[in-house]
Amino acid sequence: MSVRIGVFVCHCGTNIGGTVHVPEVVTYAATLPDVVHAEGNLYTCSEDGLSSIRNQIKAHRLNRVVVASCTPRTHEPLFKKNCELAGLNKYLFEFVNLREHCAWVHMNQQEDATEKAKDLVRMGVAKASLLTPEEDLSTEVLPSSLVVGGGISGLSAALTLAHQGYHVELLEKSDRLGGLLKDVNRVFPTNTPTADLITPLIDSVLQHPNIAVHFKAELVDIKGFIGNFTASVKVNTETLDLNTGTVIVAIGAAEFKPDGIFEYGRFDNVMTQLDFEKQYPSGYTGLKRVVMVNCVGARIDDTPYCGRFCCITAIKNATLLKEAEPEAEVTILHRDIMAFGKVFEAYYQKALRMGVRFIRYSVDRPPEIIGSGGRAGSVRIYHELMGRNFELDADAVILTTPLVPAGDNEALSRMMKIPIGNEGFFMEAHQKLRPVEFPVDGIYIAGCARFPAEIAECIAQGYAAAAKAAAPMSRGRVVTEALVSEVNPLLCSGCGRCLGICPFGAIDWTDLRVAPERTRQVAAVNPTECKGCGLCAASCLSGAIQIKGFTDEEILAMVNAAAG
Amino acid sequence: MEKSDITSEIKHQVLDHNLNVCLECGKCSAVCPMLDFYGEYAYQRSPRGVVERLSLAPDDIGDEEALWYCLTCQECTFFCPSGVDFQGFMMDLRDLLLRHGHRKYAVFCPVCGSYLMPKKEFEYLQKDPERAKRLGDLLAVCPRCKKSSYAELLHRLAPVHKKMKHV
Repeated sequence: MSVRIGVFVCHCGTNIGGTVHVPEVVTYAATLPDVVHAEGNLYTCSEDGLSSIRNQIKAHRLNRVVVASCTPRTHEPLFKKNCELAGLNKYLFEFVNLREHCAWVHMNQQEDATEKAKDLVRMGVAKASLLTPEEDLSTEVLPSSLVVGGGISGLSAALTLAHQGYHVELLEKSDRLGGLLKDVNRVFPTNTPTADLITPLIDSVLQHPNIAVHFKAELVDIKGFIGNFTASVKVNTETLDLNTGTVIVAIGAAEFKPDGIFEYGRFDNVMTQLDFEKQYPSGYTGLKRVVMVNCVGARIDDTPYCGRFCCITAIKNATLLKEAEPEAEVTILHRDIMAFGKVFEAYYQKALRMGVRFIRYSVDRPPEIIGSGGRAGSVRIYHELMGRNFELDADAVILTTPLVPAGDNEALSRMMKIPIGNEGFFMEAHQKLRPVEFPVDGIYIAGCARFPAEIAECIAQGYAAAAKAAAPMSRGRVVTEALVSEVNPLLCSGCGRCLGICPFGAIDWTDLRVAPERTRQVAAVNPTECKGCGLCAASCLSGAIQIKGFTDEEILAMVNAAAG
Repeated sequence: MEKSDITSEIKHQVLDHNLNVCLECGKCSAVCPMLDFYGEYAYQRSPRGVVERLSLAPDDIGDEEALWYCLTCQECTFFCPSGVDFQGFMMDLRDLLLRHGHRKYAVFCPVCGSYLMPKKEFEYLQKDPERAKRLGDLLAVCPRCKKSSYAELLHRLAPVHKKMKHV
């Protein structure tokens, strides 16, 4: 069937029409090869313009449509939809940008702008004649989710999904749910016992018919993509294969153990905040003089980040100590106090009013812990403004350490092809706009695996990840654009550059039979995971990779049209 | 009183006047009119420095002249964003120091013997003869004694007052 192109040039009011002489462009377009119809519209995106597209497709039996108007960012879906309404495959549509790329940037050069508009339309028409019809890709999404990690974030996500009717496979590495919170006595800022908060949550997770909890479970491998992941999970000695539609990573983080610094491990009464909470599970009585050192292992060269809530943890334990022993001397040595938001500022003020002492130290002259016979007796601190040392007696020295990435992050990152940031925590798809998603579809993140977060934030992120995971599962299918990359296996040399360069992990090896008993490995693109960014095509040395809708042939046709 | 008593009493005063909520922002030192008086900026003598010193190590303060610099003008209390009542604290602290016999940095009323002002300020005001002349007898006695001497004068000038006594 011969190519029959229709060109629609938009005035966009005066946006284009005020600079580009549209009737001249229309007349010119009609002379281009394969163009059987050309017209100008005041607004092609108005109902008048759209109905004209639909009518002309039928009247002239158009099999390619070129619209020369504004930006594809806002209007391409609209024009494509109208092509489809008239029975034309939407991938046979080509967009030419006459507004941003021509009229707006050449407002004072009307004649030249008109000439450039002709060039752009000629390029669009050249590409349009080579377009091929494509079908959108659609895959089924299993209504189940794999939640990795049974801490507060994982529990919140699992329960939310289960309540919505999705099946949840919850993996927990240890033999108990609750994560790090299990060792915490009380939670700030209410100072209520942690058990009151977490026990009902654990019970509802364990009793929920939609949740299968796997204790002592280790994720060995995960294959697949959004809609159908297959996870190999080792539970004790046996290996299970779990099929789920989505994955939520909530593996949490670990408390930093300051081995070798601040006499940790040398003196019995030097401990971290978590050690302290474990040691005094029933109360805080008996300690008369306590010195806490904040920012141990945080905001230094090796770990440049701030742990966000460690200050509040220190304030919490200081407050509880003061409440148990009002005459106790509790001193917090800090570098700055991070007490953000309306609640924590009041919490900090309360501690100040209770008589908890806050003294700033400089990172250049950190506090020294002095002691003998396996016990710390005092802490020497250099007061910067006073310019002198103080010695504070101490029955116990508590080091406030930040959370550090869990040891499993690296392995999980390789397994799922999800990115890790400089600090070793997982990195979300966008810091502001996509906080609980990964660039890879169908895998979501919640809680301290992303960055140290306090309980309320972990719960919120658990809910958010569950909501994001529920979206494709409730639709049941994911539809992706057909404009993805494709490997020609015969041209592929198997160098593997594209595998490393793909940000979405969409390319994998596959076996190509080259002789009856011989195969070789070549790259293959999973169209469901591919976003059509084009990095692989640009990196391919053999020219084996093409992006649909942007093939070399199509691009070169545009270049030839521009140059010729 | 024992030395430990004065230390524990200071601790209570520190809490009573909110000294422990100091965030070390330094606004008090910036507005302190005694800044000129310190000579050059000296942390130890500034309100902020005194607050920190007394909350950290409230001992051996009898020999500390820095505690006798404050004019108790209330400027720092007014500007403090955290609500530290430094002026109130200073007055109570001096009262406490005098009660414990730390009198060497204070000047007393020659008539009744009550506390008049810090010695440092007194000397400063009298150092310059011109200034001393302008002050006149303003610093001669304490306000209460001054008031009684005025009252005495009034009694002498107003004999009608004596008559009223007989009514």
